[in-house]
Amino acid sequence: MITTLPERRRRAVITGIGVVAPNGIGADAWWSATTAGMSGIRRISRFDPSRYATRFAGEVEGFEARDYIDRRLMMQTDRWTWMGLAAASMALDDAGFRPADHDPYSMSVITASSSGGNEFGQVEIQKLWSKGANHVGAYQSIAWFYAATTGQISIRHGMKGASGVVVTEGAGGLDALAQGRRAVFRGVDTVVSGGVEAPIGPYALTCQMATGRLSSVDDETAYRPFDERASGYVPGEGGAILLVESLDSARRRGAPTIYGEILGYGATHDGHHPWAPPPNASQLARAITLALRDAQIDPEELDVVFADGAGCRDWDDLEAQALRAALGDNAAAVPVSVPKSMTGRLYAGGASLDVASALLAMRRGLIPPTIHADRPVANSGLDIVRDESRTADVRTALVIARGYGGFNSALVLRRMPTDNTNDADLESR
Amino acid sequence: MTEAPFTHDHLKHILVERIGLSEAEVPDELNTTFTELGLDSLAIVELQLSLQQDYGVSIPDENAHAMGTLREAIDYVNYQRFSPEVV
Repeated sequence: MITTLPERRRRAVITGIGVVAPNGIGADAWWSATTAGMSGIRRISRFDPSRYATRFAGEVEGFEARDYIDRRLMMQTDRWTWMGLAAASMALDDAGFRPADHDPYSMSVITASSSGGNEFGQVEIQKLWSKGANHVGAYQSIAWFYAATTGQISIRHGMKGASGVVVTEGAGGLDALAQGRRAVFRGVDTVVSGGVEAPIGPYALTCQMATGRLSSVDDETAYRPFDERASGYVPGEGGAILLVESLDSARRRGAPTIYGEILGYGATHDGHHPWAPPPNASQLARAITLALRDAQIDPEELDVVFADGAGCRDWDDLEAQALRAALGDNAAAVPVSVPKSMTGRLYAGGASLDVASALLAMRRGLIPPTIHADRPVANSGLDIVRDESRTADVRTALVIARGYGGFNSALVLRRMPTDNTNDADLESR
Repeated sequence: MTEAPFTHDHLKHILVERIGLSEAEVPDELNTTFTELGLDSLAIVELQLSLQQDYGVSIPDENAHAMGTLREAIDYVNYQRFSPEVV
């Protein structure tokens, strides 16, 4: 076992949640829908999908960028960045955090992206091929690339601490939060983190279809994680931006809500093949084990698992195998849920939204359901929370995320005491 | 080719449609600089690209700084369009 962490380190907590999701804009609206089992998956409406193999997706209907950013910035940025800026503002508001009151170098921005500014890029590529290179707009240079959302959040809020973007497809939402936690360990006080993605357009959808992993079922129930009839996943857009802070600074400034602590993290790579699933789940299991070890907890302490839930039989079987390997007998006892069955897979936005689910599950004592998993795979050995939310006292949560190409990540979160003024445990651990 | 002169209205159209200013933000005062309107260097590149793409003028690098104000941009375009061989 490699141990590189110092004996005593700063602690990273989450104090703000901003959500832009297919089944709700804003954490409250989204959580109400999610716990009620309301799906945001519909037939694609932003373009005519009839000639595409995948025609259903999780689109964020009713998202108006002008409600969050001015017109000049809209001209310079993609829908993906609009959603990121909107979610970042929501997270800051939720945390009662005013960036202008803080040292710019004490604040970082670390987000995840797996495809950049798709729609903006498509428009400019069409100009390139139809009219020529002189017709490509200047803003293409800053709108398409993966760090654009991090950069625009940084500029808008004057956050000048070490910043970056993580690109690990569906694992990105966890990897960005883990990188944010590292930034806190290294001395940064506040990190805007998480991820969003906006991949529902002709060009972006075509790129995704090439994997052969998307469902072609023309139905709102197309995405069925851990189900016998799993037909592939449904893509979606949106995600969650979260405010990560050092516990010290959150308490010093009197943060209104400390949702939970990022207690542990582990990441591995299959190192097997660019797209074929690995022969076994050893690397995903190892990511989970590393996260538990980093968190210094045993499997029986887990109260819920938010699974990756790819909605493909081979990948789902591998994930169940990994949970059994890493959690042992506890794999059958701990509730497992895949709320992304209501949003579709949001790529870099998906895992941070699952973290938001975990944090609110802790706070509200409610585990949101996996919907449309009516015929769970018999031998998975998992207790899938199906159809309806389940009441539970959630103190510790595990979130699992995988990225296409072999990325495996796991994050452990722990609830913070509501009244944190007299908790000796806060100081001692 | 027979062309109408490039006017303040044409420039306003670009500033609204390509840069994202509101109509009210584009002043009538022609001596206003683009910097005063809040355009950064990339916005000025976008403006010049639009003049080249939509109005057919040529803006070689050495002339990129020749249009600091609304008036200078309008004059540049008209000068180019009506006596292109000179530039």
